[in-house]
Amino acid sequence: MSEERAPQRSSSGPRKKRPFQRRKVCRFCADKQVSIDYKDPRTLRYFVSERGKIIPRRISGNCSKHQREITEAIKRARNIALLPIAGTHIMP
Amino acid sequence: MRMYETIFIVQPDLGEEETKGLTAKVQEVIANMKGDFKRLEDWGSRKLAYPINKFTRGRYYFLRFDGDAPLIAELERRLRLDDKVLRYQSVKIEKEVAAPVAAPPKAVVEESAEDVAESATESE
Repeated sequence: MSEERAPQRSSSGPRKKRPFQRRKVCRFCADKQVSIDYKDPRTLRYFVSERGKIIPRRISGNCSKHQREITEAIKRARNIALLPIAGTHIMP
Repeated sequence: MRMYETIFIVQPDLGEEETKGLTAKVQEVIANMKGDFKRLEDWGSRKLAYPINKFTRGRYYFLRFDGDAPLIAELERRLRLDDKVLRYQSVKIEKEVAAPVAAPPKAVVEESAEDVAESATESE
């Protein structure tokens, strides 16, 4: 986020580098029926990057409560080999 | 009494007898330690997200029971000692989840075929 911190030389006002507002609605707050479960790798995969890293809240748009639950669930799923720890592992 | 669920992964190439013996032993531990056995689900052989002890597949079991702390300690000790068990994980749950678990035991063959397809797309 270095662009934001950069001194604003031009006088066109703050935060001009935001062409569009990202959708900032937590999926789990919007739809109460969707539950977070460590046994469900299909939903969790949405919150994991290609390399297997957990996607931060500022990108996924989750609220802090649900992000915490997601993090917990991903870590549990990794432990029982439902989710990869680092990307796709090379299978012998 | 607390509610627990345990997932354990056993080696995929075991015979009928060995898996029967293992599940019977698990139920016996729960019964001996005055636990309340709820159910045991066999998710069948699934592809692991990463190899464990050089195994790329594993047979998943999902165990749901109530019990106290000594019971879970004893159960985990048993699972740890058994080298047919690749991995185990126990989780204390707050409330009973009535909805079916995400990986239902139905159609084991289809499930594994799908998993293979899934991993193929991942590696692209």
